[in-house]
Amino acid sequence: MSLRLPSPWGSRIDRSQTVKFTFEGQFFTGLGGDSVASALAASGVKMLSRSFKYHRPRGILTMAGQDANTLVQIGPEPNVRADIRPLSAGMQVTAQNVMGSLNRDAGAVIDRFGRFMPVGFYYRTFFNPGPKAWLKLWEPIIRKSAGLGKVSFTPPPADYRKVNLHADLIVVGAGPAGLAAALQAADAGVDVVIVDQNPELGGALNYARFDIAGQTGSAALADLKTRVTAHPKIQTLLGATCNGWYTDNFLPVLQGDTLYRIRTAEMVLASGSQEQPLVFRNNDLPGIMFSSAAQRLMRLYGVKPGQEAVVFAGSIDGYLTALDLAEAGVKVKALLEPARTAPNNALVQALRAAGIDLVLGAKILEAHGRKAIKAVTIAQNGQSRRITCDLLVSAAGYTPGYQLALHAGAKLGHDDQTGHFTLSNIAPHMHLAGSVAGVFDLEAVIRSGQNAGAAAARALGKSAPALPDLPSRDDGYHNHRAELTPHKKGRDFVDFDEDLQAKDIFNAVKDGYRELELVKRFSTVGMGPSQGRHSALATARIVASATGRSVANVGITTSRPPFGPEKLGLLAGPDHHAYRRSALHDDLLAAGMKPMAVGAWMRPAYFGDPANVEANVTAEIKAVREAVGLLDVSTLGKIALRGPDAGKFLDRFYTMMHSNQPVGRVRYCLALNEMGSVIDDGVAYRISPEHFHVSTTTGAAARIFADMLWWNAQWQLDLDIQAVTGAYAGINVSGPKARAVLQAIESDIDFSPEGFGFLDGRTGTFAGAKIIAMRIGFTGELSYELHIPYNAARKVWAALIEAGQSHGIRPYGLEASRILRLEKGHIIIGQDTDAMTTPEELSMSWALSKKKDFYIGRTANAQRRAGGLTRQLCGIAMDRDTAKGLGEGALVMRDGHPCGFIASLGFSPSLGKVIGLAYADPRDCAPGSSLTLRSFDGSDVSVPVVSMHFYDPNNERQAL
Amino acid sequence: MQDFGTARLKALGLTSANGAAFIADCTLSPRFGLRAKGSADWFERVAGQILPEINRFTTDETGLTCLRLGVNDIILSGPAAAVAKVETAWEASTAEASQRCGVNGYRQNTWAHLVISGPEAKRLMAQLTEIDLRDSALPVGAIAQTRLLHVDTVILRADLDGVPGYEIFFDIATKSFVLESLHHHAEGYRFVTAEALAA
Repeated sequence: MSLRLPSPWGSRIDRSQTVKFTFEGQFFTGLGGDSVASALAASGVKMLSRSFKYHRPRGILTMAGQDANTLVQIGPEPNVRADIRPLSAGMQVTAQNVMGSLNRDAGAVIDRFGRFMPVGFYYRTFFNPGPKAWLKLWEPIIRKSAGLGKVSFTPPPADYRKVNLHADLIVVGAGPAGLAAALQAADAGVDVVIVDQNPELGGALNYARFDIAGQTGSAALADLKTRVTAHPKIQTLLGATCNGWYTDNFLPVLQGDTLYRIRTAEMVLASGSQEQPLVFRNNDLPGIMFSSAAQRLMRLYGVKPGQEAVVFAGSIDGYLTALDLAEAGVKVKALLEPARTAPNNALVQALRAAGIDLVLGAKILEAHGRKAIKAVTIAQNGQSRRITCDLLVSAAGYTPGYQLALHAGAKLGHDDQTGHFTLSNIAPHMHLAGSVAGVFDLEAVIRSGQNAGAAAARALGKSAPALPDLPSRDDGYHNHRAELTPHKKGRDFVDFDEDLQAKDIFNAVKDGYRELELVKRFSTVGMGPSQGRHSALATARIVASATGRSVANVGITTSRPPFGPEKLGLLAGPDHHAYRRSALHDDLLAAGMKPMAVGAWMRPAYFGDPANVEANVTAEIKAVREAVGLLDVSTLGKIALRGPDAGKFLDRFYTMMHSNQPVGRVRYCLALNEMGSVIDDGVAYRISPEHFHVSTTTGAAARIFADMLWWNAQWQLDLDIQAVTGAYAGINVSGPKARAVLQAIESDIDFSPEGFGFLDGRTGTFAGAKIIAMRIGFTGELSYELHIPYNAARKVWAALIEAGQSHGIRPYGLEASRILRLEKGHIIIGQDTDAMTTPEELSMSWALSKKKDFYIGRTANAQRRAGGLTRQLCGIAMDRDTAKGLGEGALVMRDGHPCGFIASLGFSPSLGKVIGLAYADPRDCAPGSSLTLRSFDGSDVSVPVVSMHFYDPNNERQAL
Repeated sequence: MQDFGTARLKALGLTSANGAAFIADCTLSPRFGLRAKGSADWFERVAGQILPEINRFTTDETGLTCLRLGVNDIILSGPAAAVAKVETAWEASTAEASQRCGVNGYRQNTWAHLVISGPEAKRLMAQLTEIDLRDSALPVGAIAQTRLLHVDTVILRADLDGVPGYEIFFDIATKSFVLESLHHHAEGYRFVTAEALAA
């Protein structure tokens, strides 16, 4: 059965293109331009989903993506709004929240037990039988019931984008008000972007009827559309939803898989209004829909919404929709006017001409049907009667599209005369236009748009006239205020998403929840996918009625972004994870590097076959101890401090004295924070009296640089501070044969022991590059650290490899490095320190200058030192069997209580045992003592305390 | 509106791409920068440069471009000989040390340098950076010191031969990441090195 109307009905569809798809396993055919729901409606399908709680049949309600009734699963994608999702070939559409199938949903039995599930029942119900029943019995059931649709754990790849736009004026809503606003502003010289969630310009002009003849709307549409499309200063984003308002007119706009982040100076909100449902028994049956939904089906998709209709006309739109239906060939059996008189005679005449029976003073009592409406019982003058129909169209009134205005701080009020919510306290740089501002008559809507556009233009410094407002002719759009008395048999839904009936709201108030925010939390009204769009007004009216207050006094619950659903992928954006690579990255890969992420850097963990990690690491350590190794230290932070006050600055920033540091010497740097805790270490090489080249740890590079800038913003010392981490690659050449390798390469630097002593620094040419060389290292061996301009680094690396071949040179990675430094007893900031670590705990008081009056952290450090040590880092050593079950983080115990932890632990191939650094009670830290360590299996082991300087304690090797 | 045209293209080692979209890696193109006290004075007094306003750049008929990032933060980019000449003169000045003449900004090795050119370059850039790219905010000849793909970046609006274009300078260690991301975003762009495009 096809309900497709002939042309010109159906402005969106392409009758030449058929689209095949399945719904609940059955094959269907739609047309190009159809939405999923319109294609199904054209095939006579009325039921699209089951409700969340009672599994009641649900069908089209708004055709505007504003309700949960049409949520379906399409392939791997859950919760798709079928009424606005364009149909595409091969779609596999299924219903959600069903036990079995949509037509045979076993869950529907819950509907019969609704009386056992009163409002808030879940707060009282899940405690029995037994103390753990909620956890063992109910929680699994609830968890299974929760949510709608099925999330795919293997979703198809998506390409999410983020695009940044800046605009003078954004107009949200491309209806008559929005288009008029855009034109007025653009004519004044403003660049305008129009955003609308529909695929075409015009909004309601595309489907609504504005007069009896049905001509006004199409004429206005043609005029506005033509002018907007041709205007060079107007850009349009269609099929795009403005999903929230954030400070300073920052607007997220969703269009497909693209998130536009728009910053605009001015904003016109022409978001229109949303129709409100009528509350009566079985008001949720498929076949009952808003007047705008019926009009959308007919005019946008060419679908006849039913064969025999009853129309409820709480506003003038009910009359106009009835005329539309009649023109589309639907038999309109009655038009129900709740008032005693019709709005005007012209409408009455038009109805008569169309053969439509006007029922004055009418009220809907109940709809009938199981899976779709079959009849409706109405009351008139105290008499009730039943009218058979397969379509009930309601035009019960509107609420403004207030969400974005409320995000921006507007206040919602209520006009008791019109029954409408009203907006006030509009944010600066936001202008309302059209029905969101309470204007409904088309001419007045367009004028209000013009004035909003002009106001925005003036705010942007343009000249634009303020036109006189048109006389209001909006009385036909007063909201119908139906009696909100719960039906004795219930099923008169206020909130379709949450299956909340009128009595539920009344009962919530009876339970003591008099404030709307509390009613919401107790009943969950407005918490579903529709976010209260269709329940806010009725709920407010019920609470007002039940508490003896006005609707304005009750208000609505807080409106927060997002306005509508948005995919998490849109927030995440493109799958980019920033990383940094050293200049030597490709050379290291060629040498067999196994990269690991260290902060933003990719660094070598080790070199060689992953199947032999320990052997690889051992070989690398052996090379450094017996021959020579190369470590890429490009990632170390490097900062150039240049100027007359560079030494003075370092005196204040680090704990040691640098102003007296000789040129050509390298000095250790230890940085504390104001709390006296160790935050970083490195070295400073004095290249010239006014030039220090400072290195930091990899992890603290950005922090130390930022701290330096921050402190000097206060100190105002005369120096330039520049981060040059990326400018220099770094290579540490370490091992007893390091000097021989360096001396084999052409250079004007004297690498002899006499010419280049321990902690000396030199600049010069090396392998054709201008480099900085420092005799420092982390391994305890003879070491030189070379800092090479980025673009020359590969050349120097190649020269080192070539010159080192005969000396057994090989690159080594971080795994070897951390063992080499552990053998030497060097700490790693961040691994062997935490936020409270003091220099004394590290036995590094030697690094605190006694000559200086000030350095960052000095005062706090002195006070903490005066308080005495509560823990101290010490060395531990054990065999491999003892170390089983231990690891970094394992607790150090004393008298049954934790007093510290293992900071570093590893097997030393040089020493043939497991060694480590651990925080312990200072009374236990002297070599010769022992520590009790708590294994990860809970057992305690005792290990001896040894010197932290496990290897070459007299520092003979690094001074070779 | 200023157009930097063929002189700038040539200075970067690029030939006109006839309006076709391309992304050129000009990291190795010559640059020399000074920063800190005395830099601006030295450029004007010794190098004879007419310095642009801060966050503006100028290009002369030889393609030598002068970028002004701050009062005393200035970079020259362009023909190798011209850049080298200035650098040599500065080194000679520092040797004399009679007046402060700034410090080397290490611009050659600190930055990667890409040129993004094409009719839809602005649309591509809008996916990479949050700044206002409209002509009113970033006209040709303007510099923005901002972030691009979450990386600190200096952006030049530099239309080349009438084709919308941008030059971006950023941490050289993130070049692989930025190029990889651009490959994702820049459909229809030809990725080249300056040398390849010139060839």
